[in-house]
Amino acid sequence: MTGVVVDGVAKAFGATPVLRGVSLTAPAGTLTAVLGRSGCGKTTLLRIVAGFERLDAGTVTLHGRPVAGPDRALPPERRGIGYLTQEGSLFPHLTVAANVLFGLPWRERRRGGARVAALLEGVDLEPSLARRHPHELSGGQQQRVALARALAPEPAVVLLDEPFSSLDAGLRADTQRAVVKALAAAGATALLVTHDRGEALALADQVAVMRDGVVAQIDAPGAIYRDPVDPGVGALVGDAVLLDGRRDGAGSVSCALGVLAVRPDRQGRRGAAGPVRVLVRPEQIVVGAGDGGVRARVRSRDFRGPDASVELDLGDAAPGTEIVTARLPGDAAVAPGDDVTVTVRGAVTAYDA
Amino acid sequence: MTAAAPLRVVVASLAALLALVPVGYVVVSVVVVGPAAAIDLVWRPRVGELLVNTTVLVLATSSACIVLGTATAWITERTDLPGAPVWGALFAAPLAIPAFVNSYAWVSVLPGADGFVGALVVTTMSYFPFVHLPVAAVLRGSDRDHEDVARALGLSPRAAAVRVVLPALRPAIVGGALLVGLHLLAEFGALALLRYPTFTTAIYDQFQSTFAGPAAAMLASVLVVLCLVLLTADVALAGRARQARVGAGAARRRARTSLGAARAPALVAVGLLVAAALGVPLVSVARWMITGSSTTIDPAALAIATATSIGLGLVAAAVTTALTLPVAWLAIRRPGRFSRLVERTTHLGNALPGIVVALALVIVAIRVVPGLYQTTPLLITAYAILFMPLALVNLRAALLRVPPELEEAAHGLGSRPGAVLARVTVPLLARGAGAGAALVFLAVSTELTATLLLAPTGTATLATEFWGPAAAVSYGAAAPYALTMIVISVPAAFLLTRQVHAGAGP
Repeated sequence: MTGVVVDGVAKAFGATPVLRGVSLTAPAGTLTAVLGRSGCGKTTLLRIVAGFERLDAGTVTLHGRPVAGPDRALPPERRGIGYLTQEGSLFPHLTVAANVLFGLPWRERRRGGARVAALLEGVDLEPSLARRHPHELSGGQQQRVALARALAPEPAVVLLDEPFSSLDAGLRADTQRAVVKALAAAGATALLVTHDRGEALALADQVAVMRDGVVAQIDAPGAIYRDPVDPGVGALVGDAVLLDGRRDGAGSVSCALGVLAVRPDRQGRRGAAGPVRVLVRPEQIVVGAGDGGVRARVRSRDFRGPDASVELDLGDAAPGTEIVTARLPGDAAVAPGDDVTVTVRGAVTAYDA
Repeated sequence: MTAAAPLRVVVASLAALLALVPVGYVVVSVVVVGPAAAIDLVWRPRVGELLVNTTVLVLATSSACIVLGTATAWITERTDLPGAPVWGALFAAPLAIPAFVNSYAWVSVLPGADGFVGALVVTTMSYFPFVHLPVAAVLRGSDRDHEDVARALGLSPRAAAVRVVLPALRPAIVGGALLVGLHLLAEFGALALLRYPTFTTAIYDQFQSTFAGPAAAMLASVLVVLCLVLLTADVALAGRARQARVGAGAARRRARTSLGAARAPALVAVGLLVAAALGVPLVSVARWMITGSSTTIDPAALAIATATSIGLGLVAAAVTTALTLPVAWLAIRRPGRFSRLVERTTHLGNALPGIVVALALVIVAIRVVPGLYQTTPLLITAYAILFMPLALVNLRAALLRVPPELEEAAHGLGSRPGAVLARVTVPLLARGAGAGAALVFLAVSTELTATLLLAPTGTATLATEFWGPAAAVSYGAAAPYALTMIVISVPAAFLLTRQVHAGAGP
């Protein structure tokens, strides 16, 4: 059963095209993250699925029901969706309880006390918050109340527009956990728009990377991180070291980091011999003291506690020509100026140059 | 409170005491007259009639202003009405036409336009901008995500408007309606011309016949009670509704609601409204200027009246600003019970009708400080009491934007308190103080009620020179003064519009 099907959706604001044929399918009951830089059209896509914007071409189907096409648009209130905004958008004139019950029919709102408590517990909030007003809550609590409100009418589809971006780091992790848990418990199909790749990879069942108004790749988080379709997607979903290299046609590539194993593509092909761009993740780079590997000099070290980001100069003959960044354990004993050797752990990805 | 600013405390206390004079007059009058006589004076059919007249007009006009002001705000801010920004400016423009000039325009065009219907139409046309402006400001700045969320939760656009948008507008609507109500209670000229007696016109008549006797004082006390009722109703209706925007996301530009087939009727409706609110007064004044048989423009008299109005306005603006500067400074820099009390008290003038203030000062001048009656200082004092809130609101907003660290830096460089005020605070406040002073100036230059009661004999201002012939049905003779007052009021209307847009309302 498919939850959300977006097919060939195009949208322009005036003469500026924002979406140029977006297609993605979100299986029912899963969470799909739409990841992209600001301005890539991801929020517009979400608002089209919600029904706040009309589309120019393409269709949107929610749980088998067509809701938007070039000549048809079901109004948002009849799509059976939940919608979570960046700031939560709690109604400031209503208490938490009244906010949570807002979308229910009048009869159910009248006797909603137990319902409120259950909904608040569903998002890991104390039921005693029900009588408060939104401004008396922390940002994370506001977002959870907003989610409880969105889930109260039991929508089949929940649309989340960067709901964690305004929270500070400490609150964010807890709120993310509570939201994902509540979404899973509700069995809703969720679309999460975000520009935070860590958030997308950590929370989603599948990640759709949007770029220039199209979906560049849609895949499970592990797959999209390990095997991006092009270097751009690779750099969008994680830190990437990109080097020029040469593929030998037998499963290896030679580049500034030495001769490395190339991961076969999904069809199991190893690719023809020739010039390529090589994508290495910083955590694949291993720094040693002597035996084997490529010689490098440590240029700088950014200590971040559990790990450290280390800039390595590979240009032995001509210093400064090849700089790569490696992620090392925080306790790795390297200092700027050290001469080290560098090896690469695991297979890398190569793209025809 | 620092010991370094005794002068400011003294001046601020003086401002608060002045603002208390009218209320003190009412209380003392009731006590002096005695409860039995007071009840006799108040418990009369005539007072009942005035009460009904006043209440009915306040309710009817406020309701009409709420409907018109909210509808015009919505149509100019949220729909694709062609030329919406221009219409928005036109809906604020009636503020530039003093209500008594508007009244004169209607009566002189439609002599039958008097009584309740005339009063309702004229006051609504004059006062609906008080609702339009704040509601439009809220609609412009409001969080449209709330409407989206309500729609996503299954509400139709109409239901979302009722359950989400209207509650968000409520404080603006209630605040605007309160202003309308207070202006109606204070309105003298417009209603006198329309022969619709209310407490204010009755107090004036009583003053003309029995001077500042107990009868006038008792009517004034009922009027003050009505003001208090309105203020209390405002607090109750605005309610605990919390409107603080939660979070601070960037407001998104949104499509306006398409009027569709309603576009043509909507254009006709807004056109008719502008014709009634602006067209009638402007055309009517222009017509009397050109064709009126009694139109005899005496340039010298007009020049004298204009100069007098401007002179009074300038002096009043300076005095009022000087009185309120310490109040604003205490409120912002030395917050506390005393500062709050002084600030609140100073705002009283906003709620008290000019006729009560004038009456109180007449009594004070006769009983307490003989020789002050019918002098310019007394008139200036009345203006100050009435218009201190205008200056205070602007000074307060300006002072909020001056970081106290600047004053501390000046102290640190060795300046004494007075020097800090003069060399740092006042220059930084100049803009806000200027806007407040300009509003006071413009309010004074078209003030009628207090001027009629308090101006020294022989003093001719634009308002009084207009009033004589207008009340005597010499419409043509009044026209040049009406036109001059409209011209002078245009900047005031513009300033008020900007102030509401900036959200610096009282």
